[in-house]
Amino acid sequence: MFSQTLKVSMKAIWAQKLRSLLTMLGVIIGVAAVIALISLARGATASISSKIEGLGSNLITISTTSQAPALSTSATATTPLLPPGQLTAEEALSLSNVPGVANVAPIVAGSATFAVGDTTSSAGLVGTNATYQQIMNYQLAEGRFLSPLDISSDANVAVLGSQEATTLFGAANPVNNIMTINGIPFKVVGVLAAKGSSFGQSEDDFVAIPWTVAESVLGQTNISNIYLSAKTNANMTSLTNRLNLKLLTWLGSANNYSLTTQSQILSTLSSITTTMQDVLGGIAGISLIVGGIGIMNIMLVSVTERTREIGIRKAIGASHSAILLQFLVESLTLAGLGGIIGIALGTAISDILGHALGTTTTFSVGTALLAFGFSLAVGLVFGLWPASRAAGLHPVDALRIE
Amino acid sequence: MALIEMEQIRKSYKMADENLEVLKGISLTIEQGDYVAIMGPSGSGKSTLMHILGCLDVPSSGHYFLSGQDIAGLSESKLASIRRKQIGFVFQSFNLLAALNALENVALPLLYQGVSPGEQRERATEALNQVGLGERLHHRPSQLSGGQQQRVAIARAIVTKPPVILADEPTGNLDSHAGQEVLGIFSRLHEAGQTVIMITHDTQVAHHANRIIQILDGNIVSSQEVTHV
Repeated sequence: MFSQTLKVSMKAIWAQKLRSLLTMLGVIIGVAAVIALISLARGATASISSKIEGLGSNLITISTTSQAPALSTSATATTPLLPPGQLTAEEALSLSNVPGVANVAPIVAGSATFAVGDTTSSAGLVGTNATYQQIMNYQLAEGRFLSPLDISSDANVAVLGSQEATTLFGAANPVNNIMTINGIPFKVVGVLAAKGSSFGQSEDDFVAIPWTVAESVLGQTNISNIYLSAKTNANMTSLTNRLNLKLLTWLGSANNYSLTTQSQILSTLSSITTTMQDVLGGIAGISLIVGGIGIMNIMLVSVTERTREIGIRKAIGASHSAILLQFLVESLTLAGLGGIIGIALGTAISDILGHALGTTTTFSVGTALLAFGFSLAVGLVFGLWPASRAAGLHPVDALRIE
Repeated sequence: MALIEMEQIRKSYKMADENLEVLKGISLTIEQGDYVAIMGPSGSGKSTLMHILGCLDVPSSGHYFLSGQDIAGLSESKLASIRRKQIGFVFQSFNLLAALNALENVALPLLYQGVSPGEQRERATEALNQVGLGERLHHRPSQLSGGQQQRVAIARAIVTKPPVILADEPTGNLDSHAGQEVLGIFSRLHEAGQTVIMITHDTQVAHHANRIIQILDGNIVSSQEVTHV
């Protein structure tokens, strides 16, 4: 009986193709929106997470939050004591004595002007040490990275990020060529492999030089960031406690710096993206409910139009439940078909958007099943009233309608 | 006990403030295998009587025994089950479902009886053969003439082999030739032992039956045997 009822409702839907399609449109758009938005959100989450994990899960970042003092080339280089809220590279390097710390890379950062012949460019200058490459997970494209000897001997050598190498040297190999940084000549010893961008910021548009040299080039001794790698990612809490103790004695207040571990960033990120997914899913869910109201509307019209048919069916013996089933199956079929078309459409949209925006999208079977189930539920809930109205018609009254 | 026994059937409708009594105490008996015509002008209450006879409606008072069971006071779902098993309807305007072909229309009552699809097809084909439409199984109602549509409707009425066939002005929408064909089928069914009740206002049509019951203003005014020459 059920399979025949299904056949009957498929026939009724097919007999009114355009109307059925328009009826399903609400559910189609709702489901497509759920699928596309959640695929995009999941894809974005996955790609950001893998990028962060690519940095190494035992990375710890310390940033000072107070502003660097105005550039004054005179005193700062010789004054050992910095204003409160400033860290020196020496202090940063001493963190490697903290138990559990593997490597420390202090960052003396600023903006500088680079020139090769007539080509000039302005970009970030990173003064750091030899461990930076390993901590930040950079690969070398050409030459070598900064060596400990470069640091201790204050050598004027530079390593280029891949984008800056292209800007300054074009297709030529920059290694062993001379460039100037704020007018001071440097020898290029290496080029880093491209890493791409994260959070919309290029990670390849900078020049790295020894921090000892950066202090004099930039005229500042305070450092903006310290990158540390832990020996293991176990016991991160006790390690961060030990680091906080040191930083508090140097900087006075926890307001003057921030210390973040990779796992903290990941968990913050995942809570943001979960919220984002919930909000997007909720909005798309509302459109599904609107789609359900559309189905109910058309089903009510259909019951009115088919009053005589209902009367005939009742006269030849259809029970209350048989009529109820017929109209429920019809609204369920409409909603279910809408759900299937919506899933196909949503998957296509998320693929196209993913290509257009250059992000990955993740199709989730769970989300698709959930959206399909939800559209069936919508069909059931919004089909119930029209169906019970049809089933409740009195046969004599129904037969009287022309 | 007779197949159909009605005792003092009354039916009234509330119209605004007054009660409109359409049937004013109908009593009649119809034996198994009889062929009865119920005649009366429009407004006489014959349609209401047919609705009650066909278990589409219940009387306001009185008793109606169909195959020994009192119909008065039954719920709509009980009535549906009685219609499914005991009654075959033939309507003036055929009342076929336009979206279904002849075979599917005839099989519909069997679907509601829970008969398997294979048996539905078999029995519906047999019923259509009985009314001479074995060649038109897959035609839609719109592809059939009025007489053919009414024959499909008769096939649908007999497919469940019900004790009673109830025909409401079955020739009302047909030309005389098609009408004669339909009446011929009823006569053949009657000869095979089928109980047929036909409602009509046409004296000539009524004379195909064995007995003519005349109603006027909600009362039976006469009940005469027909002498076939």
